[in-house]
Amino acid sequence: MGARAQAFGRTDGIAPAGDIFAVQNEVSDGVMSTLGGRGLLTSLAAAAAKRKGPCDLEAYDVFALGLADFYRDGEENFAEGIKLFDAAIAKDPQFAFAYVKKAWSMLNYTLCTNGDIDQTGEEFERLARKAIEIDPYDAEGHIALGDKLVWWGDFAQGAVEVERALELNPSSTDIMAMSAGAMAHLGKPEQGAAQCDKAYRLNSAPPPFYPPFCYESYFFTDGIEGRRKRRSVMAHGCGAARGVVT
Amino acid sequence: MISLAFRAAAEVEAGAADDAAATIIEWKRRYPQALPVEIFLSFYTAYARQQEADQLAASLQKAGAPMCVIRRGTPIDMRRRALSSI
Repeated sequence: MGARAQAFGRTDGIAPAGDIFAVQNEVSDGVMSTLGGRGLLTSLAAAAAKRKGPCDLEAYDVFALGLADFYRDGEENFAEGIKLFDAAIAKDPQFAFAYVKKAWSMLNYTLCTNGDIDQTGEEFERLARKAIEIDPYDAEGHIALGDKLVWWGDFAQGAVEVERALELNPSSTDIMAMSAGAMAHLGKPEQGAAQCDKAYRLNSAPPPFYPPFCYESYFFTDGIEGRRKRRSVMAHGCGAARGVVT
Repeated sequence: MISLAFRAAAEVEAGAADDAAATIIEWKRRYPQALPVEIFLSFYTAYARQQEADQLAASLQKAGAPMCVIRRGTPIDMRRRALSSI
């Protein structure tokens, strides 16, 4: 019996065509999420940018360097990331994703330093809305705004933005994970946990910001055994040695 | 603070009470002005359903997180009382 047929529980040796297409879609989504999104390729861009002279840096180079800092975690790195995202925006004021990542860096910095979270929340929302204004079809702005609104208690409008992000980019594992961050708050932790499972399954190089978007949904849906298995997801916090808060 | 709260809650529910206690100590160390759980739930998190807030409060109480009232009532009763006093 073929391995694929076996995988689908078929005993006649033939894998159902629909399931094969589903697998093909999942494989392509996995490859895209691992390489693209803002994962591996951005890391390569950051490595290339480090070799350039300061005067040769384009907006995307500076952005990639900022993202590298963002992934390193810790208040110093978040602070450096904010400066670099500002520099990217100065070079290209229409660079929507730089506004979004600046927003996340600011939120992380505030969480790490126990700063004024409501003040940062207002700036976070402004940056997310600016990104949406520049590029309304980029899911990143919508998921940032949706998460913020939900976390601050505006469930109705937040849910609209989260759904919009998932509509715009249903294959992105980053969007799956980040939207999961809202699901427990919206009363849908099972959906959040399923999205996180899928994001981890598809993205073989998940960025370090997935755990904080997933731990709530996992906490509210897992039994004791599940929580034991997912200790690595729960055990994170500010500081490079322990993972990243996003 | 939020991540530490969930970490403590998850640890105690996974049977790792010692780890949970250590996380609560870390919470108090990093946030010396740490607010009681009821206030944390009211001002640092928002849930559309009450059951998530109740479950988190119960787990945090089990983990030994600082509570406004520790002798009587369920966590949510305590939270309501705390809110009504503000």
